Amino acid sequence: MANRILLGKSTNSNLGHSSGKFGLYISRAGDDITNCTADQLIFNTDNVGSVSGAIDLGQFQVVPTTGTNATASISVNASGTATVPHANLGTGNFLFTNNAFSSSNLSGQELTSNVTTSRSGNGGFTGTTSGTLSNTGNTSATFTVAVIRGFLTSSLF
Amino acid sequence: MANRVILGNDGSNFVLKVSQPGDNVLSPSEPLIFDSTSARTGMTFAGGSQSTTTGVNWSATKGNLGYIPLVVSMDNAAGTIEEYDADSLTETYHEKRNMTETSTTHIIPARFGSPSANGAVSSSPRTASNFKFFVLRIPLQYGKMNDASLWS
Repeated sequence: MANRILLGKSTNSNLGHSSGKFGLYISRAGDDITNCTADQLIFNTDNVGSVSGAIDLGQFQVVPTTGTNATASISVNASGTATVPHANLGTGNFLFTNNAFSSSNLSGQELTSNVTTSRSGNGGFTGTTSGTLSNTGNTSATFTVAVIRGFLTSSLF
Repeated sequence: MANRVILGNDGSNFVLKVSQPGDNVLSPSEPLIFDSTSARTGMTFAGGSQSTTTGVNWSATKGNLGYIPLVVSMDNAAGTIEEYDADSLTETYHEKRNMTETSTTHIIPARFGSPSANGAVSSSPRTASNFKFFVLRIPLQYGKMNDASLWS
């Protein structure tokens, strides 16, 4: 059985720890945490972001919108905005929304001039408890939104 | 208060498991927050944001994973557009206007267009606004989505 969990000092040179580094490291089944590669880790507590030795930013997690709900349904007027509340798991969260809507079926109408119908949305990085979703299209739409846990922008690539 | 963390022998394996608040890690009814018996977790490898961009090379500072990874992104074009041209009596409908192409090093905003000789759509790049992305340490590449690459 491989050693898979290391809590304390790692000297795994494949992770850049030749001089020793303290943390919690977990490898996947069959891979030895003392000599595995970065891609064989399923968890680590190393430096994050663009600093030397960084492996990951952190875990990919979905922040609950209310209670334990993973998503919320948000209606936004054309060119309007709406607030998306979520649990407080820190700042820098990322609003993610579906990007497929049913066609308005313009072909079923007797049109005599050019027509454009668009429904699209985007949200900035959020605060600690809510974010703002913008409808960047010219037609109102209802978006299904998930909040992906973020990181300090200074830690990104 | 529920038992939420196991570090050690769970009866058959040495593990680290963490359950959701209020859920007993010994008999969880909800997905675990962390489970070391899984082969991969959704670790975020890199990420970033650009006010406008035609592509981002995350490998310049982060290196690359040796495979094309799964990337989650958003920008102002995340949605659909339907257009009717009265002159040509033509209707067009386009979903996923915020589509992107990814490589081992880049994420490139793209759009549907006449495919190039190899069928790629990168001949039709676009400029994305308010672009945000996370690179996950999960392969999304032909030849890498097999047991040897994913789990072993």
